[in-house]
Amino acid sequence: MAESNAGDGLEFDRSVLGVDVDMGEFHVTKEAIIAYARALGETNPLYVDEEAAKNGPYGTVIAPAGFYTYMKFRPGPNPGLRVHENRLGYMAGQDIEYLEPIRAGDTISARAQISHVYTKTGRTGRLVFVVTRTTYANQHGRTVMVVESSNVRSETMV
Amino acid sequence: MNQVYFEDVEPGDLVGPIVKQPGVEETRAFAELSRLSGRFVSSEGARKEGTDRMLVSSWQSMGYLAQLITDWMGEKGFLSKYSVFFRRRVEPDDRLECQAVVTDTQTDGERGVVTLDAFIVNQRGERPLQATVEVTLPMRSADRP
Repeated sequence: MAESNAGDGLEFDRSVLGVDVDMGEFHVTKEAIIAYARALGETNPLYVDEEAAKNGPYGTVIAPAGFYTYMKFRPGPNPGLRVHENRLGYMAGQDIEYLEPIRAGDTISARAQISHVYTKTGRTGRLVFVVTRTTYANQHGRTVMVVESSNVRSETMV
Repeated sequence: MNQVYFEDVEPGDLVGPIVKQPGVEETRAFAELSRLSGRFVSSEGARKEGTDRMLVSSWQSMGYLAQLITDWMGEKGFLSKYSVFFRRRVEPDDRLECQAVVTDTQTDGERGVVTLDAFIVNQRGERPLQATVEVTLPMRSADRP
């Protein structure tokens, strides 16, 4: 597949590139962590057993690796891409760095920015990739994780 | 919960497998918990979105692969990096075998950093998810009083 940069005739709002957007806060409860973990079939006591977790290294229930997908924030930046409305978008990949656990009782804030927009041309035509970098911090101001997410859609056919 | 120590790990070591086979109800339940809709909750929702079948969300399948790693590393281990690529769609009732292989080990003397290639193999032998994972493990020498 051939890759092109954002300047390659793609129509979108370039003013959003690199601009940090405050997505607000989410309060993490132990009930939410346990419900999320159980939905994945987790049995790890750090995630699902409050008593065992109290005696563990973090002193409380902590969130599994994917819990950030459960947390609800305000919408992030939108590049306003002109894409084919009848073609679904898909997640192409996620690059995640974990710095410390998310604990029950934390209040997590999120900030996101679109770091990169590019196209690739494959067998099915031109695909548009949007890379969003989201930084999550806890109530102490410490970054707990950074997620770089790449989403792909077919470009509009008009 | 078993604890793996850095000294116990060598490149080439295999982790897993664990097998997941989320059915329609389990897929829908996870999707609704994650506030997803459409193709992730029903066949009808999938058709409305222009795809032919209900799908397991990427969030769910990457959660399974992470579970393989966090179960293996023990409570003193720390998952520090998880880079996952989604290559094929996953459907309800697919048999998902989650596996990993250790590719590198490094230490600064107090903590050990282990790199793994992790992936899911479905019943057709395809790999819908592939990941590179970095885990920090405790060292037996540093644990001694």
